[in-house]
Amino acid sequence: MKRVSLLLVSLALAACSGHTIHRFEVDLLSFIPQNQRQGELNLITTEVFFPSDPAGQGVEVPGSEALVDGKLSLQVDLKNTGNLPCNLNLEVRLGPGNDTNLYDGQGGDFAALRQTVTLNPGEEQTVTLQLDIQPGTPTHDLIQSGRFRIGARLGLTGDKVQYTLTQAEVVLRLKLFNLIPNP
Amino acid sequence: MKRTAAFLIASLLGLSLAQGVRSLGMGGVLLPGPSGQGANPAYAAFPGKWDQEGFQLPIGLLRLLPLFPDTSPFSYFTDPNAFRNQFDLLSAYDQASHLGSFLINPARSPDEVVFRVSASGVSITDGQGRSLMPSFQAGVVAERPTASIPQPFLPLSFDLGPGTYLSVGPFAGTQGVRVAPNQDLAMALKEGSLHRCQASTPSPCALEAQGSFISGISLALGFSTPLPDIPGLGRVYAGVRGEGFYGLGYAEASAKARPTFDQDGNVSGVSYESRYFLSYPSFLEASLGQGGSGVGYGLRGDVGVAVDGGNWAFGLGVQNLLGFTQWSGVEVTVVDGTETSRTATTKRGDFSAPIFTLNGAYRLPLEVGELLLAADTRFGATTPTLHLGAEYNLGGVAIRTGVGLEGGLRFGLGAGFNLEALSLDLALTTHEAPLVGGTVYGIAMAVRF
Repeated sequence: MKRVSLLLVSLALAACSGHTIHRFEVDLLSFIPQNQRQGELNLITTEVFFPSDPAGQGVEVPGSEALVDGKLSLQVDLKNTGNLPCNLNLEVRLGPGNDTNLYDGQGGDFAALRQTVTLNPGEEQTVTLQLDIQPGTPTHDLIQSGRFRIGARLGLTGDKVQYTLTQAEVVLRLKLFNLIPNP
Repeated sequence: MKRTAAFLIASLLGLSLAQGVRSLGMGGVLLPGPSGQGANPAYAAFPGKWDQEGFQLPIGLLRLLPLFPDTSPFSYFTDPNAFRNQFDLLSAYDQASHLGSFLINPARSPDEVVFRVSASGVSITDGQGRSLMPSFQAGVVAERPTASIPQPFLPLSFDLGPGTYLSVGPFAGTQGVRVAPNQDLAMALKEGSLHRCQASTPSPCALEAQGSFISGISLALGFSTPLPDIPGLGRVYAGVRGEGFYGLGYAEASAKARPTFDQDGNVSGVSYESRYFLSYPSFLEASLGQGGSGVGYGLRGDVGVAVDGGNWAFGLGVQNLLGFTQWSGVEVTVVDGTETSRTATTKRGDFSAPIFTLNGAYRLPLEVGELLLAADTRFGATTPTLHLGAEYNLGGVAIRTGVGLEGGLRFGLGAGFNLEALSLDLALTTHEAPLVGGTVYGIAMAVRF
């Protein structure tokens, strides 16, 4: 299973200050093989996972206790290539670092973002999901634990749809001086 | 933390006050005269008509007051919230290494550092899209100890007779600090891809850091004397000095941080490797407990010659023409937090690592007032430097300016006021901001009664 580690905090030698925000932009799309980013859903294949492993993509964030806020975004181009109207469910799920299946509702995984789209035959649409990660939300709490997994699922109810994943990104803003305890 | 800060201040004090305010106003140029005897022992007997300097006030210490939370680590104890929001380690380092100046705009860390992580690599920018390459160097990082120690702080000097003197004093300071990516990592960061870092295990890419710290007691015995006049040239002065030291502590450390990759070629973490050498007197073993008790000592010989031609003067000094230094202690290697070796080691310096200093000045009488032009250069076993300075003197007021090359470009602007009871020197100082670049301005002040 692929993992992304953000341990390169040590490179931030020029930014050890109370006013410095460390922004980590993780391009999750680049970790998904090109041939898995696009394809077709039909009567046989009714859902697809990004990445294909149900365990999703692991992300480690050292110093995550210093998390201030962040953003999660996903974008998919969809086209109904069938002869019937169809419904598509797009869902972004998160889970703890030790979860082995983000889509079974067990082990602490949950849906962070969800959207349903209806497409008529021949219709094209770009679906963008965005989530602001703010303190006090389950997503914020999970990321603050330091290790989490992320994945997305696209499900079809209908005839035939072509999909292309064009963006998958997590942006985290950390203020490392928040880790300093009181004297 | 208080103890660490005090230690840092003490170690940097000797270095930061090495240049007088008059010199700072002239771009850091070294004027011929007794104040330059550290670089040229012949100047010990040289007339002081060229380099009159007042006592430099360490006004940079003001910025260590909690009133300035961006540079004062003590604000952590007085106002933890202000410390968390405003303290800047880079600003604090910049001010602590320039205690002779009150820095108006100390080097400031960027407000935002962006790590862009993708399957092909990691890029680090400052939020404005400018690449951040962690690279910094101060002084020369020697591979082994050197007998060229920092100038003693407030030494006691004794006149032992015509031209002969003895001085003793404590010294402490760094002998060089360097942080930089190695060539492979620099290329990888430039390309925005860590592909070249996966060529072998361990990765050829590394962020490297080196530094050393030395402290001890210095004892110098010098002799300087005027030689008979040389017709058409002027009065020649020659000097020699032997300086020995007894070491109170020596620390030398180097570290490497390398990215590690998983089986799919993704960055999975960082591997750290560090090596350090410690040496300190045995009576400190009980409190430090690092197994580094040992003996450190050194001796070096300096020579110099200087000429006073009336309206002009110049000198050539050679420090550490011959030298010897030795430290015994312990060398420790740590890999990823696990100590892999601990060996009793003795380190010796080079037999000769000369540092040359050439400086001169020319006094040009004008119809109104007087102009003083000066220049100096240092080269050899040190970072090459070059300074050019000028001073225009009119009655009780002097205006000064100059430029210098000390790794980065600096310029100086200054003024002097003779108020009869006392003289006051002011200088606008500049230096290159470490790590982030740009010019840092400061104000230095000296008084003479």
